[in-house]
Parts: sequence; C-alpha cells; structure tokens
Amino acid sequence: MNNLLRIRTLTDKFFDGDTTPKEEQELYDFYRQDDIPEDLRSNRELFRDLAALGSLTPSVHYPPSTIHHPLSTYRHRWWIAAAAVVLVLLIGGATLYHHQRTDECVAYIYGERVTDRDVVLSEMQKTMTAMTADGSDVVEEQLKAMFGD
Amino acid sequence: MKKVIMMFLMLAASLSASAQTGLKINDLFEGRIISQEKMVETRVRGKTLAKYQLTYYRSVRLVVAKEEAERLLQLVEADGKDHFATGSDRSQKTVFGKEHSITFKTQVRKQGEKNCFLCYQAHWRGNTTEREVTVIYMEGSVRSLEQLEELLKN
Repeated sequence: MNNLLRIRTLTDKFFDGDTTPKEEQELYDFYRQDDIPEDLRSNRELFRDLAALGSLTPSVHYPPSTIHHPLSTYRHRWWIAAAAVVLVLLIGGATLYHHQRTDECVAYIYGERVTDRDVVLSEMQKTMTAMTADGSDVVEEQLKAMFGD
Repeated sequence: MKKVIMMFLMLAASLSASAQTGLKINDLFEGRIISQEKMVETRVRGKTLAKYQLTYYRSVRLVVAKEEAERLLQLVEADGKDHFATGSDRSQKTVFGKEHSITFKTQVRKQGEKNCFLCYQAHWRGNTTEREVTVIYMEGSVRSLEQLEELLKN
C-alpha cells in the first residue's frame, strides 16, 4: 500500500520533471509488472518504452553529461512550453497595443452599421456637447441630422 | 500543462475585454439590458480624439421608459461609487417648464495618466413617461470633464 502511494507520488514527480535517476529506475521496475492498479495503467506503456530506451544504451561509456536522459526530455518540453507562452504573450501584447492605437470610427444606428466618418464624428460631437452643456434640444437635432428630416 | 492552459485562457480573456469592462453600465453597452437594435451606439478610438485629449469614446443613445431610465442612472451612479467617486456631479434641470433633463457625470477610473469618465443624461418633454437616455464612456489624458468642456468650446 505504502509502495503504491510512493509510486503515485514518484509518478507525479516524474511528470513534473523532478525525479532522480534512481527514482526513475524504481518507476521503470514498477511499471514492468503486469499487475498495476487501474489508475496507473495508462502510464505503463510510457514507462516501459522509456525503460526500453534506457536498456538500449550502448556499452561505450559516455561522460554523464552527454547521456540523453528521459528527465531532460521532460525538462525540454517545459522549456518549449514556456517559450511558446512567452511568444504568445508577446504576440498578444503587440496585438493589444496595435488594437489600442488603431483608429476606430463606427456607429450602429438601431442595428445598422455606419462607417461614414462625418456622420459618426458629428454624432459624437453633438452628444458630447449636449452632455457637457446639459443642452436639452440637441438630441432632437441629432436625430434630424442623422436621418435627414 | 494546466498552468500553460490557464495562461492562454487569461491572455485570451485580457484580449477580448472591452475598455469599460468591470463597470455595471457595461451591460448596457454590450446590449445585455436593451437590445442594440433599439439604440444608437457610437464608438471612436484613435487620433481623431486627440484634440479632446481622449483616446476612446463610446456612447449609446436610446429611448426607454421612465423606470428603465432610473435603473440605468442607478447603474451609472453605482459605478461612480464603486470606482473613483470624487468629482461626481448630478444635476436636474427643467427648461421653460416643458423640457426636463437629469445629468450625472463621474470619473470612474484613473490608471496612471489615463482618466476614465462616465456621463449619463435623460431628457424628456412635458409629462411623457418616455426618456431619451444618453450614456457616454470616455478615456484619455484629459484631467477632468471641466477641461473637456473647455476643449469642446474651442
């Protein structure tokens, strides 16, 4: 029972990229068994493959720094994910900056889109003037100007 | 991986957020209170507004029942209270005994050099129960609505 708990903890640790080579070997040994609890079974193939990759290591003794370890594969994945996030943030930031600086001049008059700059700006100016001056007859003028009555 | 997905979602949310997000009156601008087909909406952004020291302008104008107009005023006033409430100004006017208007103006946010303002005006004639309501949201470096008023005069 305790062993299963340890395996679950080690499995999580492995996916976080924090396991030591010794712990990884422990995982490979565990997943080599046929009798694996159902919730861990989905990881079995992955660990068996990783263990098989490890056993293919040539007999030539390479310096430890040159051995491509599965752990480093996962770390690489995290670096790639982090780089992707930074890239998306940069693109998103640039898009947002561009969007904020881009000119927009549009009115929707009872659902109908109007992009005539003069009409839109006229509407804006009248509305602002009416608001700041508390004018009471400007709204009617706006409607007349808008619909040509 | 969950963290990565969360970051993507947060980024998407921040990109889709509109300027007046977080304000109660935003529901009106987004057509969640009254259908956008029943209002006149104006949206201007960019250098056109530079002479008013603004960067963003959005207004809606619509005709609603008196009760609805009062509800909208409450939303605008609540935004004034919830945010940067100093300098809020509410006035009620009757012109020549027939023309009536209620105006409420407030600064709702201050983000560095950027000031955000919200204005509401309801206008009606005589004893009618309908109100012509205008709500404006503005952003820019203009320091106050008084300064904006001066800029509009020039």
